Amino acid sequence: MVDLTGPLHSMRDSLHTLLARVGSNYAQSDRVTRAIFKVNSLLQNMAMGTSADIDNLRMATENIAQLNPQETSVFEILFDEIEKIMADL
Amino acid sequence: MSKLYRLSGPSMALVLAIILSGCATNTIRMERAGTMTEAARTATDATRVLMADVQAENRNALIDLVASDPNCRLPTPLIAQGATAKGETICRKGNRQDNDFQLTRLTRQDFGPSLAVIDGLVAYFDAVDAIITREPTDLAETLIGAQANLDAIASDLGNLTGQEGGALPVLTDDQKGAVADTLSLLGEMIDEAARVDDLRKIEIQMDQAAFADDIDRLDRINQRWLRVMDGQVNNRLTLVTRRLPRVSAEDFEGRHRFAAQQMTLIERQEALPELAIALARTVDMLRATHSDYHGLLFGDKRLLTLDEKRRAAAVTRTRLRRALSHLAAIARVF
Repeated sequence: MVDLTGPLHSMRDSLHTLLARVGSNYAQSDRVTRAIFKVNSLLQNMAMGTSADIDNLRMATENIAQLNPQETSVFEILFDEIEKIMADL
Repeated sequence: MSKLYRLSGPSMALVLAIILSGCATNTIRMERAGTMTEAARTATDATRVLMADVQAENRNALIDLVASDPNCRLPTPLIAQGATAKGETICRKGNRQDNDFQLTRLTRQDFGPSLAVIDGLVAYFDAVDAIITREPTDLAETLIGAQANLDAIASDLGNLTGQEGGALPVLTDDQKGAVADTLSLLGEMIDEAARVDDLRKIEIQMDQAAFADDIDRLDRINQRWLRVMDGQVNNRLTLVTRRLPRVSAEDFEGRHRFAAQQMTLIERQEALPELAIALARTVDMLRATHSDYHGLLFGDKRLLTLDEKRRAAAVTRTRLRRALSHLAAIARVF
């Protein structure tokens, strides 16, 4: 098991960047908000995971930082992926 | 006592100096005990304050959430994950889905295990503190509280030292003062030695490995609650950030209020790493002061720092001066 604290912190930073970008888009900002809540919940419970989880999260984090809030379909796919990984942590 | 074994003035002074210099180490042992209990108070109080702050932050975070989203309910809002139904924003309106999770509401019970560790440490430090702060036994007062007692002592001393005619003549005020002060000095040293013995008993009875574990645990307790604090502050910050774009650009007062709250939370989160360092330092200080205290309690004056050696020497000089200043008067009594 590997400490996921670092990747989760960087992911949280990316989510906050995204939250600022999606602005008043209610649906998207709600989803980002829920993801941040989940990340915080994991961080509070000393998130541990496998190296595969880390790689997936890093990838999702990098992608999310580049995300264009207008590209709804990409947004949905990435969030489905992130939520799936986080559900297993 | 035969005159053959009587100590001369210079010999007595030398013996006094040797005895007093050894006793000064006890003074430093007591000082180190005081330093340790002070460090313990600082460390345990800091952790207690942190936990109280975390609970307050958690309370505010839950209130913020329920105020932000009508679907959220106190005391433990259910956060939706994955697909949501129409009208569901942050919290799930209906039944819980697989990946949904509840936000924790921290109560007194959640802090119980942490408080138990702190209480265990505090019980030890209180025991040490009770010994170093207890009222000293006033030997001088007990022995020379009344004129009759003092005269009886002088009489007995006269008999013991083989003075002609048995009892000594009635003591002068100077001689009474000299005897009183010398007994008081002796009383102080006996009392100090008794305290150090009692402190050693506590250390011997205590499981040192378990104590070291508890101090390490205090470190982990701080880290754990700092993480929770970070999560609570970040959740609140997220809600404000989400809320701010929804406030009309025309509503300056409303936007100003949210922006100010956002800035406060940003600053609070930025301060957490420094708080973590400060808390770690209090525990390091506690660990170091206990190690220094324990070492000297069972070691000798070679373990004194340069500064402590100077203070011990000053204590010895003061006591020696007190003892020697009365030596002539005492010698006349004997």
